[in-house]
This record gives sequence, C-alpha cells and structure tokens, in this order.
Amino acid sequence: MRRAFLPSVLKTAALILAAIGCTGDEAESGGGTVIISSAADADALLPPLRTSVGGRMMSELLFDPLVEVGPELNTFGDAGFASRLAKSWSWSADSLVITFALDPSAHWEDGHAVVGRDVRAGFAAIREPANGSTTLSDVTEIDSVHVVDEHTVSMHFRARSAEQMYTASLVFPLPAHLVDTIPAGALSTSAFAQHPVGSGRYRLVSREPTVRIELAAVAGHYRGRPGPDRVALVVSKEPSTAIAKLWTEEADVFDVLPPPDVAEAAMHPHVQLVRTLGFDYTFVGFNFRDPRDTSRAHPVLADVRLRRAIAQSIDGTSIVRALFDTLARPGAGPFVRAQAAGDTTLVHPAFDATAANAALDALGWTKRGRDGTRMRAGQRLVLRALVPAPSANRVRAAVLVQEQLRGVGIDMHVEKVDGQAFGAARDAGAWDLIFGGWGTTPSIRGIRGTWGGRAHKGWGRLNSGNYASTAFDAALEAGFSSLDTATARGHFRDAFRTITDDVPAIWLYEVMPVSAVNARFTLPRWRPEAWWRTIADWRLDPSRAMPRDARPKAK
Amino acid sequence: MRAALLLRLGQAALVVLLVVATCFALIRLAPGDPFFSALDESTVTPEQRAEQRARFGYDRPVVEQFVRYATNVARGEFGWSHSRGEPVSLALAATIPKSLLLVGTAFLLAFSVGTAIGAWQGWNRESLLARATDGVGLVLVSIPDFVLAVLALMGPALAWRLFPVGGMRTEFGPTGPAGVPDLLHHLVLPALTLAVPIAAVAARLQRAAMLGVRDADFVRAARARGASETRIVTRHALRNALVPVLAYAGVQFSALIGGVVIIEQVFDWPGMGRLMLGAVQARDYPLVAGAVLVSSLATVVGTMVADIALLWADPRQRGRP
Repeated sequence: MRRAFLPSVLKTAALILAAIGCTGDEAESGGGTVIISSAADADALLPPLRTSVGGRMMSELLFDPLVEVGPELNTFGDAGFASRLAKSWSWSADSLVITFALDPSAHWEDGHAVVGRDVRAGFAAIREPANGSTTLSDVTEIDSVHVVDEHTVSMHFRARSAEQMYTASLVFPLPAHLVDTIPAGALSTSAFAQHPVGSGRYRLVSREPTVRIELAAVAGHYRGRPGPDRVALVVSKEPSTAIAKLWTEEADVFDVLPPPDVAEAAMHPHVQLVRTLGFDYTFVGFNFRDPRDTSRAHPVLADVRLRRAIAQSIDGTSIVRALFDTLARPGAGPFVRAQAAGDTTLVHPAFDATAANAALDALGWTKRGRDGTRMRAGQRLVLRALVPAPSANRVRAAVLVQEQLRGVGIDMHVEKVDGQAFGAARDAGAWDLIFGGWGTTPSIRGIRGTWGGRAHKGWGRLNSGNYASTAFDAALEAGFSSLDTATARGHFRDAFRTITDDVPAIWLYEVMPVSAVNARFTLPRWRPEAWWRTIADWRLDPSRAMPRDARPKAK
Repeated sequence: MRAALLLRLGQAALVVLLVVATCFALIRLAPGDPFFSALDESTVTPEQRAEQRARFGYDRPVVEQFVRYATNVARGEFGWSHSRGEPVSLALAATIPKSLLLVGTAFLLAFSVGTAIGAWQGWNRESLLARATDGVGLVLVSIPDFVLAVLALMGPALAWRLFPVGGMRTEFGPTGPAGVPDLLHHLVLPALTLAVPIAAVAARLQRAAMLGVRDADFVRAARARGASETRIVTRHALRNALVPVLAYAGVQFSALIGGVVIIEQVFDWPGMGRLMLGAVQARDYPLVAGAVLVSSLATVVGTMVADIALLWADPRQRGRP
C-alpha cells in the first residue's frame, strides 16, 4: 500500500499537468495563429517612429505603404514595384513628379477611406525633426507631397534618380483625421502611437510593452482577408528562452537562429528552416584619424600600405568557416550580396602572410620586441580594437583576428564594450580598429552615411573612421543621380573599386540567416529583407492545427 | 515603540532618497543614452540623437535633471519610458503585481516549507530521514539559483514538457478565472527555482534553532504539565525558535526583490526585475529611476515588516532601541 503511494501521486500530478497544459478549446480550425518569438520588442508601432526590427515588423503589418519593392528587390526604376495603397502611378515629363492614384477601396481600420492628405500626413511625420524618424535621411530627395484630389496625390522630388520609386515606397500614409490633431513633436507620446489605427492587413488587438503584441486579421481588407487569423509578437529577453519556445511549440517563428541552434533544429521535426540572404555585413574598420586628437591623421593607419598589409594578414575565409561553417560568406564590400547594386566581382587583398610580412618590413616595422611585436623608431605596432560585447560573433572574430595579427607581429588589444557604450565610443573615434557592422536595406543609399566623406553635404554622418575619398563620393553621386539602371550600376562599380583599393576596412563576413518556422505552415517565397510582409499569405495545414489555431469567436 | 518606528521611517526615507540619487547619477555616467538604437542601425544619425537628447532635457547638467525629476516625482509624475513607449507609472503598475506574485509565492513557499522541514529535522534529530534531508538541504543551499533555473528549463520544461518554458500564460489560452490554472502552471518553475535555495537555508536555520530549544526548561515544563507533543512544538518550541528565521526572512525579502532579476529573465516572467534590466540596457533613465525607487521602497518596507515580526516573536526585543 505504502509502496504504491508515490507512483500514484506522480500519475495524478501528470494527469493534472496534462489537463492544465491543454486549453480544451477544440473549436473549428481557421487560418491559424502565428506566434513570433523574439528577444527584442517592437520599439514603436508607427512606421515613421520605429527603429528596431520588431518595430518594423509590427508597423508594416499594421500599415500599408503606397508601393512596395517586389521580391526581386530591384530598387531601380519602377518595374519591380507592386501597388499597395496606390493603385497606379504616372510620371511627369521631367521625372521629378510621381502622381499616385490611391485605391478607392482602401480604408483605415476605423472605416475612413484612405485619402490624399493621409499620404501628406505620413510624409510630414517623417519630416518632423522632433519625431526622430530613422526614415528621414532616406527621403531627403522628396521635396513635397501635394493633394491633387481625394484619391490622387503627387510627390515632388528635388532631383531625378534611379531610386525615386524606392524612396516613395518608404512613405507610409497615416490617417490625417487622427494625426493632424496631434501637436508637432508629440506623435511618439500620443495615444495614437500606442493604439494606432492602420491600413494594413492586421489590426492591433493589445500591446503589453516588452511582453507581447497581438494583432488580428482585418476581414474586409482591400487586398483580401489574410491567411492567419492572428499574429502575436512574444518577447523573451533571454534569446535561449525565445528559441526554446520554438522547440516546445509555444511559438512558431524565430527569425535568425544562432548557428548552434540551426543544428538543434534538426532534432525537432515540427520545425522547418528557411535559409535566406542577409542584409547585415561586418567589417574590421580602420580609423583614419588619431584617436587621441581626431583633428590629426592617424599616426600609422593613415598609410594605405599598412592597411593593405593588415588586410593581407587576415585569413577571412578561415575565420568565417570557424565562426559560421556554411552559414556566412566572406564580406564582398560595403554592401550585401542581396542588394541589387552589390558588386561581387571586386578583388580584395588576398590572405598572404608572407606578402604581409614583407610589406611591414618595407614600411620600417622591422624590429621585434620580446613578445614578437614589431617596432619602428621605438614605437610598438599596437592597435586598440573596439568590439561590441553583445555580438558574440564579433567577439569571437576579434579573438581569431588578434591571433592572426600576432602571427605577423601586430599586437591587437581587444576592448569589449556593451552595446550602448559601443555606439558612444564608435562615434567618439577613440579606437584604431573597430569590429563594426551595418544593417542595410535593398537600396545601397545608406553607404553615403556610413562610408561617404563628410565634405559632401549630408554624407558621412556615421562614417566614424573618417574615410574620405572624392573619387568614391563622386562615383556614388553619379550612380545615385543616374536614371538608367545600367549606367547607375557602372558608377557604383567604380565607387566600390575605389573603396576596395583604399582599404578603409576589411570586409569580414555577411551572415546568411536561417529562420525557423513551425512546419504546420506552408510558406510563400521568403522575403529576405522583410519576411513578415508575407505572413498574410502563409497557409495552415488543417491536419496539423493546434488549439490556438481555432478561429477566434467574433466579438 | 512609536519613537522607534518614527526613527525607522525617517531612516527609510533617507535611504530611499540616497539610493535613487545615486542610481540617477550612475546611470547618467554610463556611456550611451536612450536614443542609441540597435547596434548596427545605419540611419540614426548623431544629429538626430542630439536633437532627441535636447528635447527630453538630457543635455542639461545632472543636478538640474535630478531637481526636475524629484519635483516631478513629488507631483506624482515619473516621466516617460523611452524603451516602452508609455508613462513610467504605467510600466511600474503593469509589472509590480507580477513580481509580487512571483516573489510572494516563492517567499511563502520557501519559509513555510523551510520552517516546517527545519523544525521537524530539529525535533527529530536522531531520525535517519532527518539527517538525509539535512544533507539534501546542504546541497540545495550550494546551488546558485541561475543553475537551478537552467536545470529546471532543461528537464521539466524542455525535455519532459511538463511546464512551459517561460511567460505568464499560454498564448491565446484561457483568460479570466479560467486562466488561473494556466497562470499557476507558468508560476511553478520560476517560483520553485526562487524558493528552493531559500527554503534550504531557512530549514537549516530553523533546525539549528529547534535544537537549541529542544531541551530548554520551558519545553520540559510544558511536557511536565502534560501538554501534547504537537502543542509543545507549535506553541512553545517553534515560537521561540522562529527569531533567526524571521530575521533571515526580512533580509531575504529585500534580496528576493533584487535577485528576481535573473529568474524573471530566464523564465521570461514580465515583472520588475526584467523591467529594470531592460531599462538599464536601454539607458531608459526615467524608468531606471522609477524602478529603483520602487525596489528601494520595497526593501525598506520588507525590512520594517521583518523588524515588527521580530518584536512580535521575541518580547525581549521590545525594550531595545
């Protein structure tokens, strides 16, 4: 009797737990529920205010743009663009004005029609400096937006360029009848920002900051009813917890799995992996200015021969293999391969330790100290590298680069700093080398801010290493102002050749992200730059539906 | 007694003020500000950040910022949380009850079970089972709570799927009263992880205290008067042996408020600890200050409650300053 007590208690406990674990709601299966597990929250729900990936995700499900770049990610011209709130468009003879005809069946969630002044309101929200919109630097070429009539709006550009339509695609109309009453600069703290009324295929149901955001399908949407009935962004600050929810089917999507978890995914048959193209590149940047006095040139790194010798000392391929196996590629330049303007034909300084040693000898770094570090005129060849501690990949890469540089007599000091301190230290320029990275978009226009010279108005604001080349800037400018795609590509190729020759950085790697999705969903073509934009087209396999996939009762 | 209480209240207010002022200054000394966005965001320019800093007054001297903050707090305004996009008061109101639920459950569990086990061990010191459980307790005391958390995640949550990995409720599960079992289901692992090491310490303290009173004169006198063994333990021995455990409880409540950060992070429990950690990482100054204010208040109140409990349990303490 006594012996039977423990097993029976365990059995009862297991039954209770099983009962608790089951919701018991076996209602009719609908389009399904997509739970996105994420380690970061959506910082904002309005397109002009968001900066994080989560913010982009949610705001782009809640709001539709005028037009959207197609799956080929061709940002030149307008052939590769799909209509959204704008049903059609036409160009002025001088190509400086695009007139958009809005879809008359498009409505805001509160029933108001989407009208021309909504486009103007969306543009005004980006332009308002107090909103701190990250889109601002991308739409500077738009001069103004004019309402022609209720369903027609014209967008006036300052200059012609091959990417005018792409620029227009960055403007998300906002409901003017709601935002025009909000005082200038108060958009981010307004009630509308917390409970937006959108035009997208999903509407906001609830939001608990840093915990979860729930969206529901808009049944009468002008683009049709979305497949999944509900979408939730569930935030787990600990990435391992966020990923574990995928394994236990508490969540359905995790957008970029770390390499060790890609292997783990094979043990979970309910998970499908999607290998895609990345939009981030990582580099080892050189500082062209003296960290102690940024008005002076860097005492050693200003010499391109030294920068080239350092680049030759680093075996990027082996580093990428060690860190990512096949889940990344060596960097191709200050862009990613997924960008239409990217150039994969560039020739970078190849790894050649012998040539690197010879170059360093020729530059006078001949003597070796006790620890093998090269010296010249009593000065040791020591470089201080700034590394962001939150990026495990870059921390590991720094260790490997440090070891390879030691092999040629360069002493690299790794300084790991947290994410916030990294940004401040990067901007202050108090470093010799930086393990930096930039997130990009389908357009390469961001390169003006990250690598462009500051002498050019509005350029180089994030170029903290102070690389400056008039030839590079001129070629870029020519590329951006070309209307013809082939000509633009030619200019960009010239710009990339110039920057490759100048070696302002070693283009280290470009991660090829692997996303994980519950296999009960059939996925359309995956958009590498914004996969969430196709969630509405996901299809649920009814035979594999879970209790949470039951169609919610209409309220 | 009243004078002593007033003195303690004055001390408490001073402690809270000092803690908040220190944190206010320290977080501003740390590099970065609330307007540094994602690590590699290539569109936020230093000019835009400077404009945002000026808009919220973060370009002013720290002393001026503190005076403005203190004035606003006195008016009941805790400021705007940049990282959450909502007023700080709302963020605190949303998270405090969740942390109290977790900490309160763990606290009650730890001290009720720990005290009961310790009392039983002390009273039955010759028992083999008492010695064995004491050994197990020693092991549990030695395991840090984050290790227990990982073990709990790997076994019961991930491998056996008995409990959820994290969060407070099943997504799109039952809500309202029907959701209470689901909430309890989610509460089990984090509460147990917090409670187990504390219960082990409480048990050892209680065991030692019970050993001290087991053969005391008042116990022998109660036994001579014919009192039952249960009455002797609960009314005489345990009450006298509670003092060290109560003192420990006062300290531990404060420690739990701080220590819950890791557990909330690992188990994805949306409470104050997770809020505070996120606020520090995002340099969300108003939220950090608000969270520190609340947690220092909780620490002070917890300590005071423990002091009062000590006075109740041990009349000898009442005459002391």
